[in-house]
Amino acid sequence: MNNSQYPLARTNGLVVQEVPNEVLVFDMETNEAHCLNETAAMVWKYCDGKTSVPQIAEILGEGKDSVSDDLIWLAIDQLNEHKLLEKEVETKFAGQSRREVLRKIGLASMIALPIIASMAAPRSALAATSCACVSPGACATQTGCPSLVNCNPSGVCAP
Amino acid sequence: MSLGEIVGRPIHRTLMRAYGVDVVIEADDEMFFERVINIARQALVQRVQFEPVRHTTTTSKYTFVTDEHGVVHFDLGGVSVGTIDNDAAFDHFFNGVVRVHVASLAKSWVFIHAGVVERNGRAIIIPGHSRKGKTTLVGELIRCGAGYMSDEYAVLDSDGFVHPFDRDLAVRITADQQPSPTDPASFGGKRATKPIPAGMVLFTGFVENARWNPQTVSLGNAILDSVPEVIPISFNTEFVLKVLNTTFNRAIIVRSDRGEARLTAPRILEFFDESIMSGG
Repeated sequence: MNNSQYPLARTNGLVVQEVPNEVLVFDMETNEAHCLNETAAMVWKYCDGKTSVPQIAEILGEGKDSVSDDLIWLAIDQLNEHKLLEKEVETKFAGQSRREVLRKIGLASMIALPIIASMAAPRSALAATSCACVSPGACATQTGCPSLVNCNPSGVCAP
Repeated sequence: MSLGEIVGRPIHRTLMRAYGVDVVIEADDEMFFERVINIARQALVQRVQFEPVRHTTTTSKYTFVTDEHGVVHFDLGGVSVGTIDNDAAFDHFFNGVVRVHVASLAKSWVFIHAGVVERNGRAIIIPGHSRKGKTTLVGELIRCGAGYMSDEYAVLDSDGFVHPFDRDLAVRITADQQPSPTDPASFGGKRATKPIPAGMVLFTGFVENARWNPQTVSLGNAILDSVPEVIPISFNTEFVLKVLNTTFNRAIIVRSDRGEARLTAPRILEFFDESIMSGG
């Protein structure tokens, strides 16, 4: 079985929350959250390692105008980028750039383009306070901390 | 230096309990001990209890030890945070440490950096970091008749209800000044006291001369945009996402730049009232 034709969604290290028309995914390894719109979520759902890209296109197009393989590859490309597939798969844009594909599909598609938006979470709670630092320079601008000049080994602007 | 190394001095110790989090506080100086307890009480807006340390499994501990030169050393869970050589700065710093530490470990609660006001029994949540003008906006919303809930955290319970975290507003006169505590009554407002459902989630920030132009945000994107503001997200992720889903799902969710808070606050409340009346 050719992996690139049968993409498999990653499950390990992910926390998934479904909301109406979207899916939220929190990646515990990268500490990033992703929001998959309906199209991206549908493609991800059918990435079961058994369903090929043309088959996913067929499933998504059911009852509507046909969905092109390019649209599915567009989703796969983003799933790759955000490490939401078990193994990275080579996208098949046939020599076209993502932008060219987007333009082509955008005009022709009856369903929404797949979109995955992402956001990084603070690494530590202290990052959310005004006294967290990685270098002394970061303390100079933080009023109210025990030190304005020293970033201690605990990553706090303090002696 | 550890407390064990101190010979012949009594150790003052208490178990602090807040939002399901236990922290042992210990110090060898009685006055300092009382002082840190008072700061902790303020930091957690009195929603904290202090008990004798009996049986606890907590590993969270704040230790304050005075050395032979009278300098107090602060350890957090065995990690040295530093020495205390500036009283005012320490009070402010320790207040922040307590808040963030408890918020980070609270298992059945979600803390979002946000300003929160009450309007007709519903909460208006304005997620955002410090220094983004949320206190200014909260102050103006109160001046326009909203009830005060928080200028620091939206505190959500497991059913998605928003609880007050009503410390005095931390108003900055100038950007480089320490915030000074200001009673919401000075804005003509009163404090909301009960947990309430969310009515609106508003993502906004000051942009000079910006016009209030609210655009709907999807539930998924609203949760995503709140991620940097949620304190314990990587600690209790599944619970946090579920609570955010429940909380935000009851609310109108919009985004808009805003100009001066004084001019925008009445528009926000007007928009909220109209949306609620039209069933939005």
